[in-house]
Formats: sequence, C-alpha cells, structure tokens
Amino acid sequence: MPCHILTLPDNGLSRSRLHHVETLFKHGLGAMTGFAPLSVQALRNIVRQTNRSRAALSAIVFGVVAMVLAAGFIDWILQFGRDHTIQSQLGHVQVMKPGFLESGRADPYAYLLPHDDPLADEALQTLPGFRVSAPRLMLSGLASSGETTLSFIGEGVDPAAEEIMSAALRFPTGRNLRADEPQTAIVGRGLAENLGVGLNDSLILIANTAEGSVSAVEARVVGLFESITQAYDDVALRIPIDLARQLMRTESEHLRLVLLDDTGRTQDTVTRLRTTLPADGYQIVPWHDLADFYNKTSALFSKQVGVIYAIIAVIIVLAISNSMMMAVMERVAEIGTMMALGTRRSGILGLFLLEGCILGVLGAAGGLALGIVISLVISAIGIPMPPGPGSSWGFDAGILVSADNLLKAASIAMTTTVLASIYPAWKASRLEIVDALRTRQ
Amino acid sequence: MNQILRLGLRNLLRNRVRTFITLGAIVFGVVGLILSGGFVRDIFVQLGEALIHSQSGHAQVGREAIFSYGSRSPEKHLLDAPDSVRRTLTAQPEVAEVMARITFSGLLNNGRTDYAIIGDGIEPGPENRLGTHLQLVSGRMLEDDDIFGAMLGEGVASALNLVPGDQATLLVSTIDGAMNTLDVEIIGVFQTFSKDFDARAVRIPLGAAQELLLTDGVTKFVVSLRDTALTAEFVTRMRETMPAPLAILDWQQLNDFYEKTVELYRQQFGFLKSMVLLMVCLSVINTVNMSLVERNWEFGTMRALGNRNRNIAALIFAETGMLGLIGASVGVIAGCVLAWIISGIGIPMPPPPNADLGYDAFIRIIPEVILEAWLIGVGATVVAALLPAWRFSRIPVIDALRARE
Repeated sequence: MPCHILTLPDNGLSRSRLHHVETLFKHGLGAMTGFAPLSVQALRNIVRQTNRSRAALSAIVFGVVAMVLAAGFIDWILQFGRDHTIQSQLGHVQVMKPGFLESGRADPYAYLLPHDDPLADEALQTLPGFRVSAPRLMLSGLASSGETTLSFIGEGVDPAAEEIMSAALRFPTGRNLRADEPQTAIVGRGLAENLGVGLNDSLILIANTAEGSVSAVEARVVGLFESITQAYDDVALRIPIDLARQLMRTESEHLRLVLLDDTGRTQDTVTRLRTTLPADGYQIVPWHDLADFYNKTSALFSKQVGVIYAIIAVIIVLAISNSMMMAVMERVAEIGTMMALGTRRSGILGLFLLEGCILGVLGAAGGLALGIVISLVISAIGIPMPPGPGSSWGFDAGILVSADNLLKAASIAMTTTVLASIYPAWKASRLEIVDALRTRQ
Repeated sequence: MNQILRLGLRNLLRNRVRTFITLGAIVFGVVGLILSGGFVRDIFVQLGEALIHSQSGHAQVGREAIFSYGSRSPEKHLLDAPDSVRRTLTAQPEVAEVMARITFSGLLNNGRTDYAIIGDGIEPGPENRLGTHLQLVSGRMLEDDDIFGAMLGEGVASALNLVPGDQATLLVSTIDGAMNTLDVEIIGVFQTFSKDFDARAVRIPLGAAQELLLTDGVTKFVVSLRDTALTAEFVTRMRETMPAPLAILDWQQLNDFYEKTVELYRQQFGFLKSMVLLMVCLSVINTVNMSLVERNWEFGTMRALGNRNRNIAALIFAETGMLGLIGASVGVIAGCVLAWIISGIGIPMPPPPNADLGYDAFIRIIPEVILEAWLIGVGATVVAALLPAWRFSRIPVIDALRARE
C-alpha cells in the first residue's frame, strides 16, 4: 500500500503532490508520536484547501448575516410598534382617579383628578426621564351647527403636549389643534359630514355640568380627522382642554398621560409615583396594562414572523451543512491516505473537529462583522414601509443590532458547522482504507 | 445536442455524491420558498376571513350615501324596495345568506346616565351564522326569539356598568323626528378587534329597531357568500345590474384598513422573504460552484483531448440545467407535501386582537408561489454555473489538468 503512494511522484505529475505526500507522511507520524500539534495541521488544511474553505466560509458568513438581519429587522418592527403605540395613544404611564377605567365614562364628574395639587405636579415634573405630561378631559354632549344637532363624544386635550404625544389621527382636511388658538375644534370626518360643517365653520357644543345645569361653548373647526375606526369618526371631536374645562365648568381633568424619554423607565416610574402619590387619590397605570390591542397584535405578529424566521434558520442550517459535507466528502481519499500512514480514527475525527471549529469561528466572526456593518448601512438608508392602518405617513424601518441576536446567529452557525464537518469525516474514517484511498473522484 | 445531454446525464450519475448534495440544496431552497410564501399568504387570507366574519360580511348593499355618511341619519338612507332587493340577492348562485340591518344612533340609559351609541338592528339567526368571529365577553349571542334583547360592545357595557340580565333604555329620534324609547334586556357583551367600535356598538333585533324608529324599512343588506373567492365576480356582476341609488361594496372596501394592513405586512414579510430568497440563491450557487470547481481537472482532460471551451460550457449547462429541473420539480412536490402535512397539523397561533381563542395557521398552496419558487430554483442553478464555466475557460489546459486537489 505505501508503495502505491510512493510511486505517485514518479509519474511526474507534480512536485506539489510529492510535497503533499510528505506532509501527510509527517502528519501521520506526528499523530503517532505527538510532534505536530493537531491545531497547526487543521489550520494548514484550511489554508491549503482554498476553494473548499472559501465555499464553506461563504456559506457560514452569509448564513450569519441573514440571521442577524432577519432577527434585527423583526426586533426593530416590534420595538417600533411598541413605541408608536405609546407615543401616539397611551403615554408610558397614565395617572387617574382610582376606578376611572371601570366607571369613568358613565359618571364623568365623579372621577376628575384633584386639581392644582402641587404634590402631583411636582411628582410628575421631577420624574427622571420626564418629557411631557398630557391632560385629557372626557366630554360628551350635543354639537350643533345651523339646524342640525347631534350627540358627540370628545376629549379635551392640551395642543402643546399633543404635538409631542402625536395622536394617531389623520387629517384629510385641515390640521391638528394649535396652542395659540383657544376656540377651535377638530371633528371626526363622519360627524362633520352629518353636521354639515367644513373648515372654519363654527360649532356650538352643549354639555351638562356637574351641578346639572347646561353650558355651551363655541368653537371653530380647524380640521377633520380620521382614526382607524369609522364608527369613532362618526361621533368624535376634540377641543383644547381649556375650552373643555369651560364647557364642563371644571378646573381639572380625567387623565394625565406621562411620556418618558425611554420605555425602559416605565416600571421605575410607576413604582416611584405609587410611593409619592397617595393611593386613594391617584391610580398609576403603566402603558402595557392599557394596551390590550397592542399586546395581542404583537404576540400574534411575533409568532407569525417567528415562523418565517424558523424557515430562514432551517435553510441556513441546511446550506451550511451542505457546503461542509461536500467539502469533507471531497477529501475521503486524503482521509484514506492519512489512515494508511497510521493516523487513528480518533486523530482524524479530532482533525476535522478542529477544522470545523476554526471554520465556524472564522465564519461566525466574519458574519457578525459583516452583519453589523450591513445592519448599520440598511438602518441609515432605511427600508421604506407603507403607512399602517390609521396613519397617513409611511416610515423607514431599520435593523436593531442586539447582543442576543448576534449570539444566537453565531451559535447556530458554529454548531451546524462543527456537526456537519464531523459526520462525513466519521463516515469516511469507518471505510476500509483501500476503499477510502480509491474514492478519489 | 442529444449526445451532450446523454453525457451530462452520465456525469450526474457518476458523481453521485455531488449530484445529491447539489440537488439537496435546490430542493431545500424551493421547499423553503414554497413554505414561506404559502404561510404569508395564509396570514392575509385569515385576516380577511376574520373581518368578513366579525362585522362586514362579504358584501353590503345599500344607498350610496349610507356608506359615506355613516350611521347618523338613517331616515335619509332607507332602501326603497327592500323586498325586491332581497329577492334579487337571494337568487344569485354564490349567495349563502342575505340579512337586513338598520343602523341608528341614539342614547343608551342605565337609569343614571345617558351614553351615545351607534345601534344596529340585525337578524340574529343569519348574523350568528356569519359572525363566527364575533367574540363574546359575557352572556350569550342574540337569538331569533330575543325580541327585546340587546348585545353591547365591551366599551358600552363597561361605561354604563351593565352586565347581562340588566335592563336599559334606548332613546332615539324616530324617522319622523319625534323621540321614542325602548326598554331592552342585556343579553350579552361582545368584543371586536376595534376598541373604538366596541365603545359605541349596540345590537338589537331588527324588529325591535324598526319598532323603535317607527319604520318598516332597512338601511342595508349584508350578503354572505359560499366562498370568499367568489366575491370579486359576484360584486362586479351585481354592480352592473344594481339600479341607480344602490351601491354594493365588497369586504375590502368596507374595511378600508385591510388593504393598508396587508400592504404593511407584505412589506415587512417581504424583507424576511428576501432573506429566504438570498439564502436559497447563495446556497445553490455555492454548491454548484463548488462541485464544478472540483472537476476542473476533468474539464482540463476534455480540453486536452481536443474539446472546445464551448463544448465544455454546453456540457456544464446541460448538466446544471438537468439538475435545476429535477431539483426544482422535486422541491415543488416535497414543498406541496410538506405544506399539506403542516396544514393538516396546523401551526398554533396566539389569539388575534379581536378574540380570546388562538387559531391554527396553515400553509396555502398557491400556484403563483409554486411557479415562482420553481423558476427561482431552476434559474439560480443555471446562473450558478456561469461563473465557474467562465473561469474555467481562462485556465490554461496544463493548469487545469493539474488542478486535481
């Protein structure tokens, strides 16, 4: 058998072949005597097999990049949805009178927050990360224009705070309320059409006061809005909170929506407010207790994208295994030669295990680096998204780079690489040496 | 040509391991594309069904104005000859059921407070058969014999502190402009996916609503079809025959946010699907490239024996073409079988926003998706052969011969 190998150089095919056999011979001896460390051999093999290593590495690198991008994109969308819900509807924390959520709409005057409470004002203003607090006063009554009178529900809002707490409303005609225009209103499109009012028309709003008398205010229409639900637009309007207070004959409000600079502070803020404000006068509710719709949507969406992510991960695992298997299968003859020269089966498995590890580490590192760079580039450019339901502007999606995702992508890729390189090597090492030697081709 | 095909086939059979691994890459890729495409399609289909079955039905017929002016002034929008409209609709082959609704607005009083609501008079029997996605919070659905029963949206019930069994009074202005009241018993509380809608919605039987409004008219007919896929054809045909003031809107027009939601979803899943596509192409290209480079010495031998580069290129494309065709076709079959099996089991999903019960997602077998996956499978394989074929044609024969290893 050695004869067969040693005659090979004599056919004059190549000098590098002779060199190769020498190397193999040394490897074999090395494995027997323990001279040449396995890691050096593994590294040399990877460098020598340029083509195969390149193919395997590119499979790993692209796999890691694809996983980093897909997971980062999913996270970005979920985080955007969360922040959007908070920014446009809920605020991070809502302050209200205990019981308001359950029965506030039925008996609005019983659930007004105490007004001019310096303790409450100070507690809000001094919150760490405080951005803005937006008051809300719930209204209902009759709106009248010319001959037509219809019932409405509405909210008194602070136009200045609303600019930051951008509400989830679209304005097909006109615009939102402004701080310097006290006697204005924005009206749901359906309500406006039924009342027959347009921009700059004036509306009379009539409501019952706490004492049971009737009060009225006048407001000029500056915008017609559309929310996500037509049924809401058929009955709703909004006016500046000072006008609403005048209409309700009160100085107070039902809700204070607090917006923070970081969603991560929500829990701390709730705890802090609960200790500083008396529990019998104030109920502190974090956004996620109010966001039933959002919670359900995001759970469903995560599951949906989760399925697609799983498909991506499976394809990546298969792609990496495929390339690694092919690269190792092409080397069955080499395995035969090594065994002919005396390397043990364990030595061969060890060598391929190490090669797999080195390729896995190199590929994962390259993939992470490339993945992060591409994520940053894509985030800087933005993936254009159409407007979602209830909003009129599209947005640019990005990719969130998180340690979690990086770790997950790297470990999936490395595990796959090592497993996929060991299996064919293990199979080859079980062959009869003669068969393995002749497998060339 | 024939000879090249025969040679190519022999080569494929000879290099069995490479052929299998390359085929594997193509098959997995095509399967991945079919599964992801079919799953995303299923999301859209299920969202559509949820909308159809919670509120809108497949189509609605009414005066044009009712759809743009909404619910505030039903007296202006009553149908002229409701019976003949109903007869025409029922006669259509696609129609499963036709139900009448009358929309009104008014106040609901719990004894202490008035609360503005938007009411629907409905026919409980057919509505229950349509409204499989209307989620009960408490109580039960309206039945045909609940003459003075009412169902409340969740928001209405909590605003007025009403639970099933309580009495409440509805107050509306009638068609003639007078005020009228009706005492109703709360039968159930429901939830749809829209909180704003639930905060205003009340449903009472059609007969009670007509008595309240002192009319025997209806504002619109809701049509449920045997199959959602028939909607477009049905609506187009009805639109041509419908007399002037009447309009027919399909469920997509009735739920105008559906289109926007789908568009947003499509873009979001589009990005993920492009990742799938990218990985599939790369994996196929990688494998094909690798298995061809391994054979450089073989092509070198062919050239040394007098074959031209173009002969070799023809051979390469014959081989990869066959691989692509076989791989993509096997992939289509495997993908369909897998989709069918997964759909048989169902992928459990958490409840959508309008429900407390989760549902099972399926993988739809969509002809366009399958065709697209097949074309990508074949295309990527053949394109993958371009680079190694071109690169080989530039290697001197002697180097190619020595390229072994």
